[in-house]
Amino acid sequence: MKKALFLILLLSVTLLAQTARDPRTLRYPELRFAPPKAQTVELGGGKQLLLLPDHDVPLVRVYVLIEGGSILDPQDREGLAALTLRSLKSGGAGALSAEQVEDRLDELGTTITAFAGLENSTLTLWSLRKNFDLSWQLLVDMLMKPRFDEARLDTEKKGDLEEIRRRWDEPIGTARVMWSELLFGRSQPEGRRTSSASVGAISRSDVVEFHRRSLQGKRLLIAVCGDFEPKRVTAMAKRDFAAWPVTRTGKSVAAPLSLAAKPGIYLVDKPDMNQAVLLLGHLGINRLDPDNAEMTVLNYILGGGGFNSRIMREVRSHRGLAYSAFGTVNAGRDRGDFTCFTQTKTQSVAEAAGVIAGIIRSMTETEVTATELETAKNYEANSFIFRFESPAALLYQTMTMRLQGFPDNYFDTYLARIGAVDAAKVKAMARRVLSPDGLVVLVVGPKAQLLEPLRALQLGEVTELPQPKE
Amino acid sequence: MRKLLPLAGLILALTGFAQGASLSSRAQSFTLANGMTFWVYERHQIPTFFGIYMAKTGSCDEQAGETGLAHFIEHLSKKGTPVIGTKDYEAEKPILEEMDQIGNELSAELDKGPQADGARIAEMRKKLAELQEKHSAYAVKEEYNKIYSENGGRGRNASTGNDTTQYYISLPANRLELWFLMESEKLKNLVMREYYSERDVINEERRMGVENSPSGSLFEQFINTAFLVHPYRHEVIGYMHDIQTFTKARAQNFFRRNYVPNNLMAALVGDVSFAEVKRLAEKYFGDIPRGAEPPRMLDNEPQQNAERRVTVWFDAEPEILIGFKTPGRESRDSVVLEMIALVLSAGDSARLNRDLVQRRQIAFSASAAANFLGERYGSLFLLQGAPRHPHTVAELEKEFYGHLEKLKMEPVGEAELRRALNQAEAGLYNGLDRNTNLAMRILSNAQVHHDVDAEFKRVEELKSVTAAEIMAAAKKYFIETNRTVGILQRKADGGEK
Repeated sequence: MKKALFLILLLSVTLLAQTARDPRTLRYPELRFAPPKAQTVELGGGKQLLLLPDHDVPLVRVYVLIEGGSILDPQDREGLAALTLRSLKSGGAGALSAEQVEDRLDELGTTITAFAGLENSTLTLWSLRKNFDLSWQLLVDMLMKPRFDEARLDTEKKGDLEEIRRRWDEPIGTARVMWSELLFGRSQPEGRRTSSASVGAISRSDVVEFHRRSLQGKRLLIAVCGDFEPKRVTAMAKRDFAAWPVTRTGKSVAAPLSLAAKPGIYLVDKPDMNQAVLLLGHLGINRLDPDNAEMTVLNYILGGGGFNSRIMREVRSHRGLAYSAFGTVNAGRDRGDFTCFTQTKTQSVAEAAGVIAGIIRSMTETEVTATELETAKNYEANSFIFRFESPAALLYQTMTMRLQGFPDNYFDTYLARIGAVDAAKVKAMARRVLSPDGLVVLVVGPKAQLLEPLRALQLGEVTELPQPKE
Repeated sequence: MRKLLPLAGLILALTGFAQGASLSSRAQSFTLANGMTFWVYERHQIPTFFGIYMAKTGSCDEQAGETGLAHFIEHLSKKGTPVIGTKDYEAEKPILEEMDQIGNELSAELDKGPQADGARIAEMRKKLAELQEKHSAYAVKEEYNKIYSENGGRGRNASTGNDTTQYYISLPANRLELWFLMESEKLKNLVMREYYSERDVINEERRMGVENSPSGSLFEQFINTAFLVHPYRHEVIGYMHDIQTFTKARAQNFFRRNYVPNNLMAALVGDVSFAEVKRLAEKYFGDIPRGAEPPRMLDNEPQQNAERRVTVWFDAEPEILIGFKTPGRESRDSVVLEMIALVLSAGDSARLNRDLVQRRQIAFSASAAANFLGERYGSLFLLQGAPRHPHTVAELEKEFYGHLEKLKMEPVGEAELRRALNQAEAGLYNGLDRNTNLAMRILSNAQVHHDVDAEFKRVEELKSVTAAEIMAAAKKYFIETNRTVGILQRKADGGEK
């Protein structure tokens, strides 16, 4: 009897342990938080300093954002902005030669990076608190007194040439380059790329001039977070950037974009591959599009919400056609890109293309389901806090959005706007931004096995794209 | 009132990291009766937290014929439970069982190799696809992800390495209990749904990262060549045949053997409280029974007595990997070799970059790394580079050896050692301001090295390395018979056509 009782007890314990718990039964306390706000200090002449101290770790991070990037590369000097930014760091600064700068940085254990984007250029710094002053000085000298050492410029240019040689090594890299060319065309800043001629043509005076005219005098935002003293850093920034010229007004305006390639299928032959890279899409939207809440929800459901999105669910989870599969409409200065991406074995390229094209079309024809809508909106609402999660991320986001022309209170109304999105609005947005009959499709893979199945797809003519030399 | 000020300042100083401090000054831990340890690091600036647990099981724990299984388990772990991922578990169960039966037969057939019956294989695959379709009627695709996402989860992911496997996500602070429920359910009630279609996903992952990538192909051939026996010799993703054939029973076995609480460690970093974490850990993980210690492989890699060399022909520009066998991390030599890697390639001022990339422009890139494949067993000291045209990979190889010879002949100067050490020391703090990074580091220290301060102590050890020790280690390890060379060459430049 005793034994039986024990057994029953044991059994019930085991059963209890194996009863699956349902997470939907959980209830959560309300999350209260006030997003930390960065303090903005006007440095005069259009320059701004953003501060957000946090003394938890003895580290300081600095971000410098300058309104100017590769969009300002002169014709036939593609690569100039990128080279100039890298050379701020690698070409020596102030009283120090290139190697002395590197010795100093490594001595301090400080990391500085400098790179050009399309419209903005960025410098970043992180250092231990105890080495912050010396690190800051290096950063200031790079921006204010770069030496652009001739020999170093030569090394950097050789590096660019090598990168051009290696441009087609990885299938994904090939696809990325050809995709910008198809969408934007090579005459637009978004579609331009370096060539050995453009890199070879860059002289030291081009670099000096780019720094003087295309960076200095542009809007400059500096953000500092981590373990620092705001008053001190403010004084340092005022002192050190006083000589940065006053912002010249008037944004450089590049020509408006139109889809460069004719809709249809483009094929780059890589005969040895057993898997192809597949891209579908066309142009995207303007970043200041008033309907960006609708856009956010649409993107999430279409192919931006990871495993909750249609593209991932259908291509990967349901059909097992790919490891990576996504697609979003992106915003840009004029228009961004709409890109769906996957990689799948040669035999299933046509199937995957058909599935993704079908998903794009379905977004314009039928309303998304209530469940999809709810998941997307709940995700946006409940993950909203992560936009403010780290001081560094918050500052970088604030700076970028300021340069892009968003109001500072953009996020104050964000959740309300997300809340107002419904299935009809998502469909209306899909009809406005997606063109299921105007898709550009790029396939990088073995032509011999791909040509027939791609021709059988109803996605337009198949054009062979020879892989360019550069 | 004014008197309080210094005290407030003091508290602030104490709650922050003091320079030269350690993780243990802020990270607290407790261990459940079943052996599962939890680390908690409270910081309350923003109401979010990062939750992670790490199994001390990785690709190096796989047996022959099951390469890729650790990673496969990682993929399966989000397929749900009897209440997550299904509309009706009782109804789907027989379909899953039928699929497993066919799956077993398919594996057996595939294992016949050249004698396998192709028609039968095709038939079984077709049947599996049909059953998969039938199963779809009951499955709720990706519901595990959906639940996390609807609750604001960000960056849910998992990763498998040679040494460990980890599962992680960031959540709003009020969802702490959700993390405990979801992660414990995965351990207690995992249903390995979509087992057979997930194989296809992993095949694509392999094609993407290994077969169609020049660097990926080179890397796989290189480690295959460097090790003869030790499982560090295979890619984490595994070989195609193994991925296609390990049965669900084998996967379940692997899971049961390795995902025991005494082989797991968790960390919660952010706006959480120690007491609450402890209460929830007891509630959700406390009833998982302790298991046997997972079997650990002996380091049975035979002594290397000759150079090994492999060339991969690809439609891509050249690259080179050079690896020297090195002892486990606990040996003094391992500390010295770490120091050598820093001298060679920590920062732009380090030797390889300064000499080969900047001054003489032979290399497009050149770097060194110690304990390259893992830290649970002896591993490789790796030199990695790409020549800059018109320089060849053969030239670059020679230049690498020149640097190793220099280490043998000339003592490293004090300024160089100091720069290397300063970077190692600063590196201890980099990323500690991010919950994700901090939690990962707590676990890799505590789980792999059995000491949450392991990396801090390691830097102290590095400080004691002398120039003479560097010369001795260089002479001992950087020799021809201890090295493996992997070269990637453009197809058009040679090889069999």
